[in-house]
Amino acid sequence: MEGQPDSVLVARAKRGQAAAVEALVRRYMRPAYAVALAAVRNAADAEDVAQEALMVALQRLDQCRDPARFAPWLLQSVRHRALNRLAQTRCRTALLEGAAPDGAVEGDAQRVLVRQRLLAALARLSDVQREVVLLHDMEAWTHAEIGAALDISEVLSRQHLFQARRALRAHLAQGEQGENGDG
Amino acid sequence: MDDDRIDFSALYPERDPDRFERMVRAVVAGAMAAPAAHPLALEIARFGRAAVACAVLLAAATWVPTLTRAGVRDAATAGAAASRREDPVELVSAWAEKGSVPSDLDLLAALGGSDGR
Repeated sequence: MEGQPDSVLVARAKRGQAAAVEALVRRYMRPAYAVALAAVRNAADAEDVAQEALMVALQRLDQCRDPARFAPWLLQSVRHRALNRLAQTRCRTALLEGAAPDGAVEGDAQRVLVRQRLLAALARLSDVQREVVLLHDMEAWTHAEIGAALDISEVLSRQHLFQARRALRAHLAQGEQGENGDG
Repeated sequence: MDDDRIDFSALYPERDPDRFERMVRAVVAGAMAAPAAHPLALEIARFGRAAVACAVLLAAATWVPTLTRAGVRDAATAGAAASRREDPVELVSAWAEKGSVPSDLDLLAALGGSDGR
């Protein structure tokens, strides 16, 4: 199942084959997470959104008109869901000012610090830049795949990646300097 | 280009493999539990609709000629019976006097059963 194209997996999943459903989940859990993370910028929320969106998308596979374009169809749904979640979170945060960010209870302190630094740097990018850099650098997607999934050209995908990396590096370097200066 | 990759490993959902595995299983279970994941039920429903339509057509094909024929016959017998309808007591008395055995149709007509009453 691993090497099967999306169209085949989607067709089998529509017929109720559990193995095809699982293959799609394994293939798209991380990309869905990356797109959700680009929007909500919170690992725990992004995981929830990715899970929900994948589950609902797989339940409504009949609505996927072109199985070969399952990825853009799914990621669009993830994006909508993530933006809804973001709006809800903003309302909640406004009510509960000062809540602990991003489930900072798990993992060692260093890792949590790195994660927070990355998320803070990602927050400085545009939505599409975040999606491109996460899909490319975290998911190792090609520009062709990103372009198809986000409905942008490969050239634009490269431009977004370049700008995103430059902004991220600048912000991360600034953060490290600040810490060294403080220590 | 790949050398410039930014290390996002701290953000990976698999930072806890067991947790990631649980997420995958939860999504698969949720997807499989949905109504859309039961194509057999949809097939049965689709087949059921076709079967009901066929049954309606067969019933119509069988009943319409029968009903039509019965309607024509009823109309004819009702007309005949009406013309012959008399007082049942007199009719039965006449049969008894003549010693004749009435036909089923005459009996029904005499008792008022031919028109369903």
